[in-house]
Amino acid sequence: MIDELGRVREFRGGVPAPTAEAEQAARAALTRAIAHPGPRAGRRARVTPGRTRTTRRRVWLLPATVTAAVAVAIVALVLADVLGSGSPGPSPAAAAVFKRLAAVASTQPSNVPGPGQYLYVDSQQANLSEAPEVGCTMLVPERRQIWIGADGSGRLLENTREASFPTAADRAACARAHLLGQAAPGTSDMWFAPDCLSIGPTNLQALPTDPAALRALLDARKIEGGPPGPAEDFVQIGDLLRETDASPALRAAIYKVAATIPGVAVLGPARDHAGRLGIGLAYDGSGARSELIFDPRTSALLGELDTSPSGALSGWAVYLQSRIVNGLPHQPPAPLRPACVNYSGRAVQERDGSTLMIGR
Amino acid sequence: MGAELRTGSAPTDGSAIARSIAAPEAFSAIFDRHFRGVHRYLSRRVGRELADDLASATFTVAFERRRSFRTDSDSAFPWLLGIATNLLRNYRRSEQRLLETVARLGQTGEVFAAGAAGAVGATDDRDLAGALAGLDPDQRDVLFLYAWADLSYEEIASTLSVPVGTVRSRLSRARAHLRSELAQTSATVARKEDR
Repeated sequence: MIDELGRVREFRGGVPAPTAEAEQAARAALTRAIAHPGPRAGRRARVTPGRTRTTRRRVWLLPATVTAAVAVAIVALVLADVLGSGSPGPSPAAAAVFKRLAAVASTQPSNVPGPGQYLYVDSQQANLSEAPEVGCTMLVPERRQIWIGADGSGRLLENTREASFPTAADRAACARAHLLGQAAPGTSDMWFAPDCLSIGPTNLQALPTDPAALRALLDARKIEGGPPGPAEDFVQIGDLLRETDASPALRAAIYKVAATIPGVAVLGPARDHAGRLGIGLAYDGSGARSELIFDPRTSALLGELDTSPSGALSGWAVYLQSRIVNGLPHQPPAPLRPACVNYSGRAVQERDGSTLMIGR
Repeated sequence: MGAELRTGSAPTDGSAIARSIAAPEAFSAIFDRHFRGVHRYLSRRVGRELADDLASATFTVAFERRRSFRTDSDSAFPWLLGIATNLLRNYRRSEQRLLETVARLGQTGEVFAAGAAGAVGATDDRDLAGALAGLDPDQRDVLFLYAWADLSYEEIASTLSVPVGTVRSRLSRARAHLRSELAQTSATVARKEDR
């Protein structure tokens, strides 16, 4: 009798443990990832090192082809919502606004960076950083600039400003827990060799542009993981829209899916944190509100505002620029090569205060 | 790192990952607990050098995807092995070469790296390595997760995002293939010894 399973169990059982150097290098790589975490879902676009993607990504851009009629139509819908009854379930007014945004989105040009070009997105945001077990909460503002190359190369430059604290008690608690170091201003400058930078919660080019199919993926949490429910749906819609390269057809589908989320309220004309006027849509869950503000002329996401149950501002973002540029603004501190293979197998190098992500 | 790690008693993997969503430092506990296990799994499949890179990548990817972990699970190990196994997909040729080398020579270059500590595997594993090299890579994923990581069918299914029935059939086909290959080689050896 052949005990094939027993033999497999023994097979290569004598492999050596990792060397101290290998373990230390892996720990350092994780520490860097922790120091520059992707967002909690709901805020900035995530940079997911090592995520595999197989197709060339296309890039979304928002030059304005303005149709004044659209803006007028949306304002009319807002008035209808204000005057109408606020029944529970999917708000007809929110659905109408999202459908209108979908129609605008589908008419926007798709602008794919050619060889040597980059999609450049400049945003400002502030994120809540919390350590609940020690009672420390701080709001960390930063400017975030990203250059997303057609070849999967790019750069992510983040400048963090001085953190603020909701109360003096928060500051004291953060100090006691030795967390004030995280509140200091700082710069993170990461450079990515070809195929080393990937953005968004998933490979957007693989997503269906049919709203029903997209809704099914969202419901199954196959776009990104997360708890069930409309609050998370709304968060994930935001994840698909900010700083990502969704095509016009996909953006239209995303808005159509958003139109089916129950409990979304139309806020009407709303200003983002930079004071720009757009149309606000919000989801209130457990007292906390997350608000997305769109430009009705282009369907672009202008900004986001998060409010805690106490009514305090718990986070915001404004997307100030999104355009194609013909190159990176500076030379990388070292040649960006070799390329990654399928967005994995990256090596991390520190050079002149910058971090290089290159292939091995 | 953060104060989170110094407060309270040892949390489960699930609670550490749940906390890491607001307090990313909490994720270091997952590394401390599972790095060696993940590295060992990868090293057995593709050798130590590649395992160094892939084990590191497993944890950075896991950190980025920490929101997708079901925080009611006790152990993050199956989830980590799933990420590691997905990363391995890009290195199937490396695994194939390693298995073919073992089938031919009984060992790989790792034996030198292992030094006096001895062999990575037994020399009479050549027939098994040859049989493993003949498996479909998807079958190998299931077989090794089952045999090396002691995952249940259900855990393997959720780890690889395939139905449980698929796990069962892949495993059973893999085992049948191994039994038949090993029976053939042992028969060949027996015949040679009879002569």
